[in-house]
Amino acid sequence: METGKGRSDGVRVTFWGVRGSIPTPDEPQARYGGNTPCVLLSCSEGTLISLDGGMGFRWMTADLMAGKAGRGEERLHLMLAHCHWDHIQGIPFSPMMYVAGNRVTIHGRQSFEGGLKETLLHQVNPSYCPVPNFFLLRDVGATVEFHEITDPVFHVGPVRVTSLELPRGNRLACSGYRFEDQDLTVAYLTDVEYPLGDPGTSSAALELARGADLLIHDAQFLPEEVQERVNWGHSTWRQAVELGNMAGCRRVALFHHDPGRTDDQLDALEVEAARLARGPEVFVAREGLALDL
Amino acid sequence: MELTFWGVRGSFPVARPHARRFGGNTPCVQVTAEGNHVVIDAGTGIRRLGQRLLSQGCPRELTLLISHPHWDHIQGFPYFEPAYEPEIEISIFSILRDEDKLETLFSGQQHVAFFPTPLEQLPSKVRFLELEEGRPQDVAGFQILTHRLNHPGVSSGYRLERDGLVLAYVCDVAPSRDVLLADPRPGVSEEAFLQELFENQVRLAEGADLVIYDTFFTPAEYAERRHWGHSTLEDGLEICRLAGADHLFMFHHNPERRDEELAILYEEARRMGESQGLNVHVACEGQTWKLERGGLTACE
Repeated sequence: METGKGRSDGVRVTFWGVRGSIPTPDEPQARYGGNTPCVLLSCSEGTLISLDGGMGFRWMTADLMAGKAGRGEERLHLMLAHCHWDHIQGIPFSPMMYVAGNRVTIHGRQSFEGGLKETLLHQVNPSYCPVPNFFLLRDVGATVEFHEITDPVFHVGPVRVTSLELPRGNRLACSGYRFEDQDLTVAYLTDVEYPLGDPGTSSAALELARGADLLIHDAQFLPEEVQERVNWGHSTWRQAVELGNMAGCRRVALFHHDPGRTDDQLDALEVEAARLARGPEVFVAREGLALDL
Repeated sequence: MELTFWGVRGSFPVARPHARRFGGNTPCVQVTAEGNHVVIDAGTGIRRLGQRLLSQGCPRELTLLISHPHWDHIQGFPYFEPAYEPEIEISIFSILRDEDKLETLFSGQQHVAFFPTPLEQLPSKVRFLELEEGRPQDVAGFQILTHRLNHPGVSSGYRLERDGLVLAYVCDVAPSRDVLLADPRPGVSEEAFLQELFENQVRLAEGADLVIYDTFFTPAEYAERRHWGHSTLEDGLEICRLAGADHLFMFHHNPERRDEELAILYEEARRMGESQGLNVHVACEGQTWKLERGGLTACE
């Protein structure tokens, strides 16, 4: 699977981590995969955008090492939904971070005193993680830049990015994203909990997902589970499909699977979710899946 | 004494096909003896241990021994479901730490920026305790001894003794011959401290029935990564020989190590062990072993 190449004839979306909360290297989750969130968008003009830096980021960037990243010539944009462990835990173990010449820009919103950079520095505090600190030191690896998102619209090469804060019950808000490149649109909405469980209440979600060719959406819970998990900060597969229906999306990828969700349960809910779809093609995101839009 | 491996992988959890057979969860070993119960390290393996405990009627008092606070040894704790049960008490032990107290580091792991539930809001009663180095203490029905090891920061191994049976957990540890990685001891020269750290491994494993050892590297890999803080099988064989141990478990497997590669390394290791009268095994996630006076047997 060659994912490192930017594409001039569309956008390739590759799922490297689809699991929520904690990596699950366990048999019941082996088929859909146990790595925490990472999706690579290979866009035009060689632009590479990684959605989140979960454990899948470790293996995605190891794959990039066969190409420009191994020579210290890669340029990568990493967009963080937020800084919970499952969205950042792959970063210190990514081989491309230790190759000088690579450039990585991390986009996200402050969630720790002092901002995004301080938040990520906590992860590589030597008490927890005695790695050469590529965030602070110039000579140990990639050059890392931080972009605290304040303006909702910005550009990454030819890609127009819109980022808005998403509701999360009573928790810190998460960043949702919309990427537009060559008339193709990918929306990434994870770790979102809608007021009253209704995606229609979130103008941010509707705006980001509007007419997307692919909506990647949090589907951590089953509809019957969510009553007991108010304020856990996640959605159900049903809400994901409802947003896809309302926003007129072409495809909906159910994403950020609960660590306890088995492969067989995911097979079953895919069938149920497809039945609810009014327009979009709905599928369960699986590690290793590559889609050409 | 029974032990179950819930996580055997080093550095970070590996949910990839190449690690499926031996397992990808980070370190967690459960040791039980007649209702007494100790868990060593809280890597991602502890998540499924917690679920198993709750499904079987969880003991009200749980004891965790933490070797050191690097991510792969603590990252499972926020997902340890017994910690969310109000009637459960969890005692978390580490070696005496002058700074970077374990409680502060566990609390930092559950800061709201990183995890939804702060440590202080866990429904169970969690307390942090420290063990003085070199002084055996009775904890949860075991006599427990801890000593520092050569690994970045302050880390320690454990020796668990009960009814004349001895289990040693010597992980994470670098050979104590080349580079001092551990935080130095004030007033002790680097050379003298390295020697002490080497002897600590032997003290922990002295006459042990079973030693769980950090065999992360092959010798060639170690030569290129001497500052990472991990050992080879050859180091484990030497410690077991000096300590007169009976069984060695290869543990804390390299995240890049493929199952078929590990199987070959294990076959070689078994032969090398035989030539010095040592039984070598490879730690495999989900396996339970029973240690008795008569010997060690794998449980189904």
